[in-house]
Amino acid sequence: MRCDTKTFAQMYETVYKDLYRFALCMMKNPQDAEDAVSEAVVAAYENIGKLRNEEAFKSWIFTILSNTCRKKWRDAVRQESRLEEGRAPWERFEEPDLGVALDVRKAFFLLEEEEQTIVGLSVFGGYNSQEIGEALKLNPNTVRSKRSRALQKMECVLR
Amino acid sequence: MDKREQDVLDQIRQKTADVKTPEGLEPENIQRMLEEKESGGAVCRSRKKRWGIKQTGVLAAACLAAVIGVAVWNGSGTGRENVSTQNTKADSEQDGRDQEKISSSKTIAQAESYEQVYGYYEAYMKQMEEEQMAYEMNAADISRESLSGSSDGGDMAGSAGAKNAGEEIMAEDSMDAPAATAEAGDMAAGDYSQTNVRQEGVDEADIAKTDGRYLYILEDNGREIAIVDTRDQDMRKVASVEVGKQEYIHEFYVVPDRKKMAVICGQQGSGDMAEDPLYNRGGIGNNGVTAAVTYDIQDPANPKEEGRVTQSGEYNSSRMADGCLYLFSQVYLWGEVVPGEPRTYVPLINGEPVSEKNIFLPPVKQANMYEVITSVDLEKPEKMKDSKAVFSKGGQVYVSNSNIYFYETEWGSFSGCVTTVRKIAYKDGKLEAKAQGQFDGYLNDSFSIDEYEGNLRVVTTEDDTNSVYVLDKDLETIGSIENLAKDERIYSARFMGDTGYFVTFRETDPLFSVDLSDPRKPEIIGELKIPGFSDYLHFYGENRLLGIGMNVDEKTMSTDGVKISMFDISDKTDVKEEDTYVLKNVYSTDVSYDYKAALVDWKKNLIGFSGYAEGGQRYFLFAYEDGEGFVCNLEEDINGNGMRNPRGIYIEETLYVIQGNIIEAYSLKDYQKVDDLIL
Repeated sequence: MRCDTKTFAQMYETVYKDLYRFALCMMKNPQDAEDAVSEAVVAAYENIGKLRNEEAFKSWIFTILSNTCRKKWRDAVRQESRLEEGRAPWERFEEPDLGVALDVRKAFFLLEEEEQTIVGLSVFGGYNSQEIGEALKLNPNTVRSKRSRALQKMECVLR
Repeated sequence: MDKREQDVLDQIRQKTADVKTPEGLEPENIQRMLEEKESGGAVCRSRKKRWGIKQTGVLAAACLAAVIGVAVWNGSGTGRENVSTQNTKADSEQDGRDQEKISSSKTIAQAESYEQVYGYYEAYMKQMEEEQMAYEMNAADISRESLSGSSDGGDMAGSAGAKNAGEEIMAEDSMDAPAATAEAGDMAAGDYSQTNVRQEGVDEADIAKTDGRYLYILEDNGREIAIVDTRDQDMRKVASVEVGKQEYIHEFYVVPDRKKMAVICGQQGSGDMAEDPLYNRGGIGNNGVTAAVTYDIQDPANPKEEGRVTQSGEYNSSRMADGCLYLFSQVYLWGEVVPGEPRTYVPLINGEPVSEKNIFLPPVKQANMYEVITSVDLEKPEKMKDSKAVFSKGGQVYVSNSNIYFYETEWGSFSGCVTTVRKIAYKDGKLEAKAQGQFDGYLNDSFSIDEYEGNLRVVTTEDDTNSVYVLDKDLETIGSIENLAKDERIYSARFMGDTGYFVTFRETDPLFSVDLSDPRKPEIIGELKIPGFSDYLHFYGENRLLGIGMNVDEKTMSTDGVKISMFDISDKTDVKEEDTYVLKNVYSTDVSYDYKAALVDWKKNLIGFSGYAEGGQRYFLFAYEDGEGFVCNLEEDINGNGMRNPRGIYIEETLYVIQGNIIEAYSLKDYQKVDDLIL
């Protein structure tokens, strides 16, 4: 679709809070989360021509964001792992007040990356398994099983 | 999703609800940032060029990350060549592994031992580990690239330059199409509606049913089925069927001629297996149990439980034919799997592991899921008549009038995919492995796969093109059309006798007709382009095809309302859109993804469905009149609410709109509300 900055900002307005929440659950700290969202936005805007229609905007930008987060997360882990081997990811946080209940973040870090994405898309993107399957090129049944497994893991921490 | 899972999602939602978004991410600031980026380049030409290159470099890398992400999760090997423009070192290693073969054997392999079954699972786990490693290597490459900003951004253009192949196809010769068969008969069995099913003659379970007098309705609590007498347009609840405390109902059947009701429920917790330490350690035990409970409903006011059976796994789907129930559940192996202890990796039927010979091995040498297929004769509801476990990585079922097709897609690392299909014959509860085969691409849904006169016809999408394949009874491909509708994907499909229709979409909505009268030479005989798309197709009498979908505004390319279309298919080579009706304020309908939500009966001239409008859900009822087209006879708010989709059911001259615990009755003569009932 064709789109100027104004139209883009309008579409963005409908999703940005969820984008940030999603990023915050995936990233190490609020600054990284904010950076991830900005990067994803730039990438999305530059590629807006590839978007089929406005309706698909949400799922599309979420997919971009989840990939951005994973890349950043991996970079960060790689840099720090030499220094802080053997500690759980959530213990590495320097800033304790992250705006998101610590147990939610702990629960997220129990998950594999793919599971994080699936749960994130379910909660913040409001996607069903079919839509997640399309975004991630997974069979919807596989999405359901993986989500089920991920949520069972998270349940233990959230209780 | 069951309630426990929903609870976890809700918790996450609640705990993150108060998160404050940083100022930098407010929409006006984002807009400013984007504008600055754009104009910053325009002011200084030489700079713009520089900036442009750097930026594309970063973006290309971001895009690559997306591609690789997909690759790693799904690249379990398709045995096909991969087309990839990015060639990092790790990629080429991956390509090598992708040559892992899909077996070309035409027969379904039965397991010889539980050890063999375990071996497939081990192979799957090994591949997962390798992929994780490859993923990390790729990711390292990506981050380096994105930092250096030197990679070529040329690939970003992607498919933009590709042109639509559809028009070339149109130029092909048309041929005389044979007359439509009487298959359009649909659901006019008695003067009451039946669940809208995929395959005529094969019943499907639902959340609301009728036998012509009583309504059977799954209540919102998920644990009770209310039986409501509708006599004299005066609804009265006369009985309810309740399942155990640890159980919840998925769906159920009512079989009026046998006076039976079959209820499919899931069990929370390990039930009978609570004492089995091995079971509880994972593997199978984590999957829950699906049960089928049969009731005698000679006297609907007094239903009696007659027997129950259980099998491992989450409920997937089911069918009913000739008094036999076919139950499909899915088992996903995770948690502790202990070699030498089949109870940790083989599904259980009534508490016992499925025997080796009843486990069907996949055409690729690895698996981590089962489709458990069992049958129950409603006359002997306390035991399974037959049971099989189809070992896989997760698939779907399509059930024709005599065969069950289990299909699953093997996704390629970078592009492409292959769908494998296994065919299991069913008759009077007996299940028998028949054949296996494969074709390129993936299926949109079960309407894209259809058996007719022993042949299997499919319409598939692969990357950005679409194909039609015809497979014979041994699942050998005998006919095909490839490279259809470039850059589009299939939104819906429907087959009638020798003809298939399918809708693809990108900007306009081409409805293709395919002549399949010579299965070896399928041919596109018509193409009609209209704005928007239909995501559900339903034959409406012999010469008409109803499409339900979305309208798309051609200027903004966004959907702006639910659309219903009637196609005149009397001349298959020249299909016309006879009438169309756009519900401008209705932004979606459940029919798009849940065909059982549709009430379509051409003999009674009823088209009913629910839609989401501002202010809530609404039920619509249309008729289709010669010369006049669509006539909207009823548009009413749905007052109930609940977790499931609304249903419309008619009995003689009354329409019942059911949602949650509220039933609202409307006269089909004057469309006025005549009664309601809160369960």
